[in-house]
Amino acid sequence: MAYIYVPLFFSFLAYGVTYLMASDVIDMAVNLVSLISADKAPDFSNENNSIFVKDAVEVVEEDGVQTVKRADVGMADYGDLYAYVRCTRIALDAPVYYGDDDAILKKGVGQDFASSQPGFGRLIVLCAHNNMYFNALKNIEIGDIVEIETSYGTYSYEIKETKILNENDSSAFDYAIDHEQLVMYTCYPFDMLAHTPNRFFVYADLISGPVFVD
Amino acid sequence: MKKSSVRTVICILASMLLSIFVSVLAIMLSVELGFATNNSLAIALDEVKYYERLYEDFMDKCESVVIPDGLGAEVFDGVFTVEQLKSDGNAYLNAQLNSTVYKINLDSYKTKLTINIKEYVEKNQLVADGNEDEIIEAITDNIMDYYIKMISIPYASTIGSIFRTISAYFPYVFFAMLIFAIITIWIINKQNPHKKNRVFRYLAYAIMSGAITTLVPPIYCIYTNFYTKIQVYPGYLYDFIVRYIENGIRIMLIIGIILFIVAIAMIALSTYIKYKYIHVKHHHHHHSSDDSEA
Amino acid sequence: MIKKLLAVSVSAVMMLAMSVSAFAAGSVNTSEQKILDELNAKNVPAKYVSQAKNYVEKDGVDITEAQAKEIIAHIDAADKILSDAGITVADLKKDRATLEKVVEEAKKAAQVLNLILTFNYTTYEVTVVDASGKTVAVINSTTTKKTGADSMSTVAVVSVLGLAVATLAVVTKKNAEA
Repeated sequence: MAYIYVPLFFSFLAYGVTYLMASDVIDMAVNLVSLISADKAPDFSNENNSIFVKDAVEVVEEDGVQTVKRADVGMADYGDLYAYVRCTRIALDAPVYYGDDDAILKKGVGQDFASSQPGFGRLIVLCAHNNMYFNALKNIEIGDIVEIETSYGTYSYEIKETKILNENDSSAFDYAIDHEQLVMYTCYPFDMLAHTPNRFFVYADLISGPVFVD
Repeated sequence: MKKSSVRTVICILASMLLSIFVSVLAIMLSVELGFATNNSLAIALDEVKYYERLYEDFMDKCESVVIPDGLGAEVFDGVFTVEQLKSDGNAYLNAQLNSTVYKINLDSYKTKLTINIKEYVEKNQLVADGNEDEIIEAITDNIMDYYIKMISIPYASTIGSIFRTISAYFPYVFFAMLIFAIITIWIINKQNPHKKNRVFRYLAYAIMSGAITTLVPPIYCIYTNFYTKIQVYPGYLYDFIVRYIENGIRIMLIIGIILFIVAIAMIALSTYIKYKYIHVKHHHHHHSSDDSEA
Repeated sequence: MIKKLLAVSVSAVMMLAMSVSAFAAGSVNTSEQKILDELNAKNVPAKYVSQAKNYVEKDGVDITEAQAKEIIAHIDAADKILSDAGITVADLKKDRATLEKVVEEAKKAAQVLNLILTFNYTTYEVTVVDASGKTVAVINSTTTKKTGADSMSTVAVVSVLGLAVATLAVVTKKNAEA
């Protein structure tokens, strides 16, 4: 009967259209589910290309200074989950992937591939979606402490400045900077649906973390 | 002949579009009402007695933490209550869902716990292995950290951001779909000025399609029960997640069934009008020169 | 106490085992430093230098003196192309011919290390992969990524649907009047 076939066919179309309209939300929900179900997997697993192993490397502390052997510090490849970024006051807690393409940004915080890992005394640039992992940044304040935990130790940074700039403003950060600086950015304004031409930048300076020794 | 086939094409297209609008409206409504509100989480928490069971678990863990330090379970008398835990938990959850910062006031717990421990130490004449105040402070801090960890529901802020994205979309898309649907119904009606049974036929197609779209996900969930196979511990968290999903599915099911009933009504109306028309036609031997019935 | 230490050393061994190759000492050697210095001297944008620095810091990356010489030669050649054309790096986008020549030099430099460099002339994105296909460098021309919710697809779909409805409505009105 036409009353069965026609609606069935229409339904297929309706599912297609609904998916197109809601693909953003569907992706977010699916990623959340995989986060929750992966939560119980042990740290050693290589799902999500995770090379993060908590406290894997021995950090020696003497007279309040932490050191770690340079040879023990592993360099992440593109797409590796190698650290976690946290700021307890604003409930920020997210995995950090080396690389910042769209696939990575759906899973966690991405890192500009040209920036370097913590501990190298250079620029670190992290970015994430403003409605997911970096939504917490809307509550961040100067003086907050952000930690990045890697397999080779935990590095702490103090927020010095926040800025709102255009998305293509190349003065936003400097790869040739002479000290270790953490820059985090996300789209601005928060909680807005339309295309956002501005970015919210947070700048933090290194205050503690393991130093490399040979 | 040509004019009527154009009319049929327009009606089929309109019906197809209407089915999309009805489906999207129904799905959005069920998600918004059943899943994407802070309230739906709160209801599920309440129904599985989440905080009550969490309280028991928490007190057990607290005891196992202090006993190796030489203390007993009674140091927790009057420190934490279920009601307070519930209210803290809900406030914290709501703050996380809204991505705001909520500081739980732990002072009263800490003070009472400290007093209790000191009393216990006195009563049982325990000797501190170091500075007594510092040791007690370390124990209470540990318990407080534990408290916060236990009342926070994992990934609440991520869940909150999904909710917020949905709520941001919702009004615009909902009203667009509603207005489009109304226009489409008008189109179908206008295209069939003489044979109203056709109007109900095309409406039936669209609404039945909406019913199918809305009924398939919940029926699939009920049939496969895949969501009950997630590996989440502890038990009360698992129960909460399952209950939350089930509540949402139920709303989707209800909306789907309503649509199904409306669709059946449309089919019935269409058949009735057609019968009446043919019946009347036979009676008056009035011949209509238009196209044949489907 | 002993148990804890044991756990650390086992995982440390695993951590090293996951590293790329036998060269455990990842860091910058003198030849590599020469390359970086040359890039800086020729005013290559910091984005590229930083990326190069990341690469040479990796375990398993040890550039020899000979390789460094070749690479520096290509850097100098690229610099000469720019000065012959009388433009700076910033103006490269406007001069397609010169840009292609510079990209050629960059590709040759990458080849010295068995790396494949690709340049996208529409997005100006540079990608470098190694022999096994692993991404080694990615440089886009934009400063930041799109990190906001994108409602474009939703708007597009709703617009198309609206258009369809409007078309049918217009036709219907005409039909009714006719």
